[in-house]
Amino acid sequence: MRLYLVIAVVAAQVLVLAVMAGQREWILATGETVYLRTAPIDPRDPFRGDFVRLSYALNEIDPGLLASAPEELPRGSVIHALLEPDARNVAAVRGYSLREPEERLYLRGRTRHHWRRHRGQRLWADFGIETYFVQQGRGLELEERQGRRDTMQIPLEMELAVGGDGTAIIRGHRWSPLGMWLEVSQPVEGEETPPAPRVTFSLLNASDAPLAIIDPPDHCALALESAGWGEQSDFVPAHDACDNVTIRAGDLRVLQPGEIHSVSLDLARPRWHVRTPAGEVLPVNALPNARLRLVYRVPERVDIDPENAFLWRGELPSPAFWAGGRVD
Amino acid sequence: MKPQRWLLGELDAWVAEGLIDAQQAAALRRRYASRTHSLPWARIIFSGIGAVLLGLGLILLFAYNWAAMHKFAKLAVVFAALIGAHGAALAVRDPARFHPALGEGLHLLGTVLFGAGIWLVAQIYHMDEHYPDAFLIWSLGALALGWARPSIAQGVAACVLIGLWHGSEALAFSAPNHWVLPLLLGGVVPLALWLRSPVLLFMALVTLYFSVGASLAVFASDWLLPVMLSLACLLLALRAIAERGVWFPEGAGTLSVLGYPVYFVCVYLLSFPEVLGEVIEPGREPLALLYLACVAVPALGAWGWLLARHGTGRWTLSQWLHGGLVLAVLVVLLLAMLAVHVDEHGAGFVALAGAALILCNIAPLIHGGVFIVEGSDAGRPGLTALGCVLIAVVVVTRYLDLFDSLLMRSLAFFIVGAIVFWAGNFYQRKQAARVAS
Repeated sequence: MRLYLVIAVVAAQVLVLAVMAGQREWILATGETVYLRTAPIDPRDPFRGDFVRLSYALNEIDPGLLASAPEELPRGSVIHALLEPDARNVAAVRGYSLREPEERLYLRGRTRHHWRRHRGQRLWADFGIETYFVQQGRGLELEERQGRRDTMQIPLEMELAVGGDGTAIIRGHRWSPLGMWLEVSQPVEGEETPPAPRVTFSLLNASDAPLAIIDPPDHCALALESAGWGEQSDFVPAHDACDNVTIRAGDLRVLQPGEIHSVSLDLARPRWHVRTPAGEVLPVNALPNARLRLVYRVPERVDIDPENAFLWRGELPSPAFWAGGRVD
Repeated sequence: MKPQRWLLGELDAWVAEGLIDAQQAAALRRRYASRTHSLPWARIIFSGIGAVLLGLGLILLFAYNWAAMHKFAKLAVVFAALIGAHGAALAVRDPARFHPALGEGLHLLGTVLFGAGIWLVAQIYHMDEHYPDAFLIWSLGALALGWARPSIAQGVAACVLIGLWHGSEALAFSAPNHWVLPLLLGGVVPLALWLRSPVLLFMALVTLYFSVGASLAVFASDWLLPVMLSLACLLLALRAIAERGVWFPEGAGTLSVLGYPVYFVCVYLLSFPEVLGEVIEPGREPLALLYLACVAVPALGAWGWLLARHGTGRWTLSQWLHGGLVLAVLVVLLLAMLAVHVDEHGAGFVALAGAALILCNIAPLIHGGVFIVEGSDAGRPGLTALGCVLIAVVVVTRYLDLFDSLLMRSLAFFIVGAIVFWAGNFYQRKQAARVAS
């Protein structure tokens, strides 16, 4: 009798491991494939060797995108991120929902902390895809190729298998063909209202083949957006001339492998002015505590296909920086 | 050297000197040999350490996460190692052919590999979930095997893993994690009692202390002292019951070792008026009140049962003093906590709070004095030294609290010095009397 009990317990231990692995294999075999763009760093887990800690844009939730959000959410609340893949199957977040969505493609996660709306807090959530285990030593290689905030950054695009219930499993990774570098002029010490920072935004063809990007007049492929957090970060762009811009053949730039296209921007110009909730139109240097981000975005209505090159579509956000000049 | 081992070593010499005959020596050897060789602790400990080190080696091997190895090959290694270790343990279960410690060690290796398997599967599939759950599943695997075999080593492993589970929940995630208490009290402590294992009881109770303390620190830290004091009083009551042979006599030492230190630390802290003031007026936290009730009521019940069942007539003076003081401190503290809710400024509350403060100052002195006498009577210098330390700590603390004058403070050291001097002389006189008799 006791022998059978011991065998039953051993079988249960084996079964636990088999169920853990089997559930994931099922999702890998049947789940929908989608890519999510990340920015990694490289710690080490003593139990599981090297891993790359991943963060995604969907981890930081703008409460405005959360449908029917309550005033308060306890830590560990289930939250769903609704995804919409672009032409390269790289997904962007379309919104969040606390209820299980009817949409086909979504990720199921849990809130990282207790959240209250009245404090104006950003909400953070984890979706079970924030850790990428690699062979010892490879984590550093990934980090070095991905770059740092003050160097050229080539984003990782994580390949996910997404199950019908929103569970996602990392299947692998690929590198984005387009790299980006943001250089921000340092703030002037001691001035009460420092001048708006000058920034240089560069795009790199990190792939092995020619790659096309767009740079229409007034740099309308770039948008200055709020990156939240700062007390003065509640604003929208005031300049609307780019809203209905038409991309022409002359706006295309074909980059050879390794070639960089840079633009220098003076954020003091009216093109980059912002509108506050009170309706005031201000230069960004009037909001030194605002946290900003430049986003390179190819409009959906681009009908011109470049010859002998692949047109990169989608959006590529820069690291966040402060209107006072500091990069995050 | 343990008395039994010393006795067995002396037998041959006694036979040679004609003090006892060979038959009597054989009878004594039969009587005490089984007690000295009941458990092969050296083999069990080395087998256990070996199994754990082997398992950790495998975990680190897996942690390298060799990219050239296909995930199914990694899974095959994990499953084969897990089944192989447990299978080998079952294959050597015949006690006539193999030493039981071998099977115990192999099963322990299997349990370590079960945990390694959980982490490896998580690694293969890049799982980034709530990691304390892995410790919980791992501990349940060990505990289930502890009951199935039954096995002290698996129970000890379960205690360590439950501690890791609860520690990571409480410390890393600030989660009180109340489920740890039914798991320990319903899963591990009964196993220790069933196997009559003081070692497993010790581990279970240490984990219980840690779990209760960590949970309360997360959600109701001002309830920590009364709950821990009640828990220590409960263990001391159980120790008194065990000492009388009513229940699990092997566990009396463990209960004493775990009960007294926590009791003394709590009483010492409560001897400070500001600490006592915060403790008897804690924030309103129904769940913390439930914690207190769950340990204080059984503690009072156990002391009451002990008094009713065994009567006071059979108690020695030292038992009276130790038991009476422990019970009095607990009762007065609980009454003071109750009285503050009836009338915060009433005479009853003021009197009870004052009584609690006086008791917490006097109790260590009386316990210390009794320890000195008990230690001297029984020839246990450690107990006498403990009594001196208790008295010294209280006297020095109170003098430093009450007097700013260096002259008065120096008096404290004179008093403590005199007490230690007297205790040393007292112990020597008793020792000489024992030798003479």
